[in-house]
Amino acid sequence: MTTKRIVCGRPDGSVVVICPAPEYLANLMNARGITEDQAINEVRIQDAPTDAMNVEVMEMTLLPPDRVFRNAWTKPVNGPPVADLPRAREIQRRRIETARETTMRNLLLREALGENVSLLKAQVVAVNATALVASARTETELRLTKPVFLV
Amino acid sequence: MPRIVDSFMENERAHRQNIADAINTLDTRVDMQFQTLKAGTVPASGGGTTNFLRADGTWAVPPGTASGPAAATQAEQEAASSTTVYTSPGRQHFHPGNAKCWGRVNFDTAGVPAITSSYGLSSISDNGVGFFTINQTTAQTSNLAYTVIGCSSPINTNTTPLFFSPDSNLGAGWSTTATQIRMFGVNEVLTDPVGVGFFFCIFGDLP
Repeated sequence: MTTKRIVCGRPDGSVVVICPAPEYLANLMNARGITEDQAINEVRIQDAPTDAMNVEVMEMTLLPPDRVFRNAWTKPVNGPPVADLPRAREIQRRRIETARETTMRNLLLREALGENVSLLKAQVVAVNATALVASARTETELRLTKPVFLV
Repeated sequence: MPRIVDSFMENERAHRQNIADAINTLDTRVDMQFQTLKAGTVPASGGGTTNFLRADGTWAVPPGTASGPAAATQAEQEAASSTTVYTSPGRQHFHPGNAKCWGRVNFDTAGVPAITSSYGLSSISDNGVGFFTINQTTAQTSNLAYTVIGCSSPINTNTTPLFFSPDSNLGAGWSTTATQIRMFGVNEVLTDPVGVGFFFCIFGDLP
């Protein structure tokens, strides 16, 4: 199984990561007597979007370690994808807002059952997702902006 | 002296002729042919390349080697109606009931996809969260004449179902080689099948 991926940018700023099928690569290599790199290049020609930019073949270990900010990935001219901070902030803001709503629903249920959760409710109401993500200057800081009391 | 030589040469020619006649006679003399416990001549073969000599002295096509029905052509495979021709491995996939492409895509716990097994698949494009493209090795004859079915395992240790949803085949999501699919989790939110995967099969018509 190949450990390589074809990575390319799109005009809308998104990133496509193409994972070649091992069976197809093996068929190409056997039928034409070509190397894995040459077979991957065949897949690139066939499957990369026609408007692909900054196309590169790279080891999958070079890709970001998780997909927390997958939809914020952007492809530089050279090198693996990196998270575009303004788009990553928006993803994180929505994530905090969703967690805030879920937490508040849980608190209201507990309140309806007779529990005093007024202090916790005040904490949740005070969360300002926009301000939290705006303060982050790096992707690492952005990951830490969600308050721990939110689910 | 010349007369003696001429006579000798004449006798020699006659002798050779007798031998030739004897050989020709052997060709048709059944009593000279080999038998079960007796060596002898071989009967005339009749020519050709398909008959073999049997122990009983006859020439015949060996049993089990007679030519059978022909392999189905691509058109016969696609028509799916003939009962006199037979499928060959190289044309099996032209039958309308045969999958043109299938695959199993597993995602690790970080959500990175990898193709573990496939047929007729060149690659999977990861376009974003819960958004992928299936790329076939051979183009279909039309982007409106094929179908894709698939499913995904539930995530979060079997507690959250994911829905495998091919894009509308009337939109830009389907070409003759590429089929866009999306994975939806709860609240119709695009979701990666982290730690599990998705499975698909495509039927259609190849040129």
